[in-house]
Amino acid sequence: MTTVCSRVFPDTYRDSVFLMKISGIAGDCEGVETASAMMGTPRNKELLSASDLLTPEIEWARQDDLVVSIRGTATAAEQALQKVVELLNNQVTIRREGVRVPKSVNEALAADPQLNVAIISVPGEYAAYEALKCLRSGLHTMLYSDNVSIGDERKLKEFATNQGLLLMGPDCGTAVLGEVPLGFVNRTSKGGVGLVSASGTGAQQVMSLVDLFGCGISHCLGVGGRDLKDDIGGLSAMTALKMLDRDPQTEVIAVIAKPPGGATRKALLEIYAKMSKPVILYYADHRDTQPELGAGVTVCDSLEAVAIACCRVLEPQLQSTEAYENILAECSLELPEQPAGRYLRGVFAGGTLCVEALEIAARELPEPVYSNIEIAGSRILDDMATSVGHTLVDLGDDAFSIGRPHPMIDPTLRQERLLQELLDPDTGVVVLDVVLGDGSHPAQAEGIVDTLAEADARTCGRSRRIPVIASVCGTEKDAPSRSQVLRILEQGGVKHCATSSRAVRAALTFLEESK
Amino acid sequence: MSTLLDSEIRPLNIGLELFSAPFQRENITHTRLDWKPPARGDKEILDLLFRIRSAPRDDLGATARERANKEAIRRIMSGQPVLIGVRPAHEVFAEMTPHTLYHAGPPVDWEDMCGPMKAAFIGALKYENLAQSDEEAEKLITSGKICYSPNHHHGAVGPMTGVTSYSMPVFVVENEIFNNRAYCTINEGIGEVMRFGANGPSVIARLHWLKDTLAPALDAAIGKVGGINLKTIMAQALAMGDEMHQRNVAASLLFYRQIAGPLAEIASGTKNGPEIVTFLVGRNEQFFLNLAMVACKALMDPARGIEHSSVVTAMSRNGTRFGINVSSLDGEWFEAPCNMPQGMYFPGFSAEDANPDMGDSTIVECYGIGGFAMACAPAVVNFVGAGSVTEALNNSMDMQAITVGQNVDLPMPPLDFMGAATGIDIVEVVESGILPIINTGIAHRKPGVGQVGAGIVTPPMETMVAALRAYVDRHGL
Repeated sequence: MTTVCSRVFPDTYRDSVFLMKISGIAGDCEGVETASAMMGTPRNKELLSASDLLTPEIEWARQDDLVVSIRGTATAAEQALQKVVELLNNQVTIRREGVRVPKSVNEALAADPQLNVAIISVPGEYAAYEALKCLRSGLHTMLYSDNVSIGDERKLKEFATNQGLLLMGPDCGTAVLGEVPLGFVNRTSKGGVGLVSASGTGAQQVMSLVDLFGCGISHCLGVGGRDLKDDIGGLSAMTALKMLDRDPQTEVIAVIAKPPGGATRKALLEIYAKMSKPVILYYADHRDTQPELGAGVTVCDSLEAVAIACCRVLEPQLQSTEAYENILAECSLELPEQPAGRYLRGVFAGGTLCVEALEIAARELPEPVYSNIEIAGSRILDDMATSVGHTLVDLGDDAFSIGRPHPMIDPTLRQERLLQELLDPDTGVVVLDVVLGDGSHPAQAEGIVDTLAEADARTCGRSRRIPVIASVCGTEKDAPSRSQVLRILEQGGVKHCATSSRAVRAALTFLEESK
Repeated sequence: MSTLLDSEIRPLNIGLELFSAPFQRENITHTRLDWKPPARGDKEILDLLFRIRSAPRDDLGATARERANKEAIRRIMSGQPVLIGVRPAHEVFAEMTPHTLYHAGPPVDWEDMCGPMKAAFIGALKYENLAQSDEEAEKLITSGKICYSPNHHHGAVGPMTGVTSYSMPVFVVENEIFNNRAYCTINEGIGEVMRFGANGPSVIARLHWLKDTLAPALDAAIGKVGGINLKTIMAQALAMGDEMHQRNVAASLLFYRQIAGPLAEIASGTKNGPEIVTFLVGRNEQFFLNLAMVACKALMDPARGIEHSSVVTAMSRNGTRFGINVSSLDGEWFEAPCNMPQGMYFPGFSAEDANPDMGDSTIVECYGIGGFAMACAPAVVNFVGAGSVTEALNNSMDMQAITVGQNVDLPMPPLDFMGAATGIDIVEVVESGILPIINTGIAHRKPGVGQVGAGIVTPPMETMVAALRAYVDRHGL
């Protein structure tokens, strides 16, 4: 006999990642069927209603109330609820005995007037407002949150530009300011490479490779994926370029960009031409780059080429292509002889890493390639939940992660999709990415290996004929380190390559050779 | 362009806890906000706030609203409230007739009044000899012969029911910097009193005694000392454990000290001497409450009518509805039904006996004392149900988040002499969801029973939101 036990905590806010965590802990208690802790928004009430967890008490809750609902045996639900209450009260960084945690930007600045950078990761509908307040208080701001309207982004960036402030984002996952990592960041050596990036995982890939080649990073300034659209006009990119050009630590500047709007592209060309330091440029698609070359910019067609070009500027002894190839070729690729199915599948957490693989697949494969993201040459999936033919999905995209933490934070979503692909008889080979570093879940490799084992058990070993090829983005300084993760993957039967493009190329070769 | 890349980076984390982890590991000095959705998560109101926050700014980076609010608290903090006398109401209110009554809170019709307010009206008419019985008094009111309006419309304030009638003596306070005056009745003491709706013979008799005996003596004594600066007393009392809403022990004695000499001179030899002293010193620890209220009223009024200012100039309740005034929207009340105070009840009483929140005394919180200075009054923390001294300190800190400035004249010793939070800003209140904290007495819902407890109450958020909407409309934002 089960019962539903609920509690409303009035006027209490906790972030979704934390709530997901405590929901998980409560759900794992013995005798509990399902447990959910969320903010009392209308949408969340619908979700609770759908899982029969909506109680009259919760129906009356306001959207700034925290609600908890647990179904299980009466005693188990009650005990799990107590557990949740305990966890809510003990979240250390929110309340510490005798220390007042500021509730507003003003109060924080009054307590420490030397604060100079804000990192904002609140739900999107509130993010622009918080950013406005931070900028108005003179703080440089990184906006991790997405779902900020392009109109608000424009207003915020105009304001920041007028104040000489840098607004990184919205939807900026990665930044490094000197020694300080913001968001998802790999720990690298310090050095002369400065980055301006419209892409979080793109920046992580370049930073990790630069470290792997023995060079280092000065700063990484994110700008957000829409900065170079003409609606925004590259306002943040221009500020970031100017900052790096005059920064004494930075010797070479890498720009990881998405295709810019026409007017923005022109404006950027003028800035490139005036830069005193070498600029290495990667545009996520391959277009005519003659104008950029004319402005003295080195243009690269892949993330690894960007890292190589940067290191060539910094390290005169590292000029030969072989030197880099030797490092990048390190991989584990004993592939089976007979494939199970015919198709390529990709399950990515990193958006740019997915795009990189997608572009190569769309170019090389004769059949259509499907995805949730649109690039020239790919098709959009009808049903995001089901792969058809060759399919590569970016699970960090809104289509999958709305209302859930990013798969780099909580890898459950990715493991579920990976299992689904391994159980699909059409799947011939799977590529995926493992992005290490601060912010990322520390046990992604274990999760992938466990998923392979589960698929193995459920298909009586048939899924072992599907090679899973991972690209690992990380450094030896990350925790867990790159080599630790590679070892776990190898032991669990996962192949690996140095980069996403190499992983997908290996997968394509395998499909081709085993036809 | 700022030299961000050369600076020591000090991050402020607003959102996910996991982004603080690397700062902790690398020993990077950082701050994490105890963040909550602004405007309680209401997106439509957030849009209004966004418009207010992105208003044009001057060379110094301030919006018109911010400049106006600075001016508002400059006026509030620079005032000097001096008690200059105790005079009959009809002498100071030019428009008052024998058939006039003033009351606490925003305007309210007789039919809508709570029990204690109605009873105080009846009592006042009996006191003024306009009615001999309750029935007669009610008839007078329902027949439209009595003209009544809020104290606040006449530069006055009154505690609880706050009823002020023609012959009642009122304190007269002059703000010497701005030449405005404010008025308030004399505190009647504890027990059966008209401010809680009692209207029996003993209540009427005491009111006559206040008028005939105490008021002339006080007026003469104040005249002899040449006026008493109430702000000095308030600052001292704050350092002596009073917050001047629920605790006025120190302030009452400090006041008595100032007039003791001349009062002794006036009263010596008369038969009234001992009862005057006993009333002022022996029986009434809350005597100063009415003086704190009238001082705050005199200090707050110059902040009215400043174009673009979003500072609250008065909060007030009539036992039915809670109303606020806002500087640039002067003349308008923004109202909602009163909240019930959360508090402690005297033995034998419970929340079921409580009348909704009532009185003009919330003017003291507008100035920065009362609930705002709870940190200074650990002795009444339990009495008002604030939970703990730590919570009281936190309350006073919270109030800093919704106010324009810190009042240097009101240093709070337990918070390292931080000035009390002054100048409630509706924008900050609506944005943060933090409501002003008011210390209050709780009246019995039946007239005349008197005080049944004390506690903490907040204005309804609807008053602040209504004012915010009007503010956006008025200023074309």
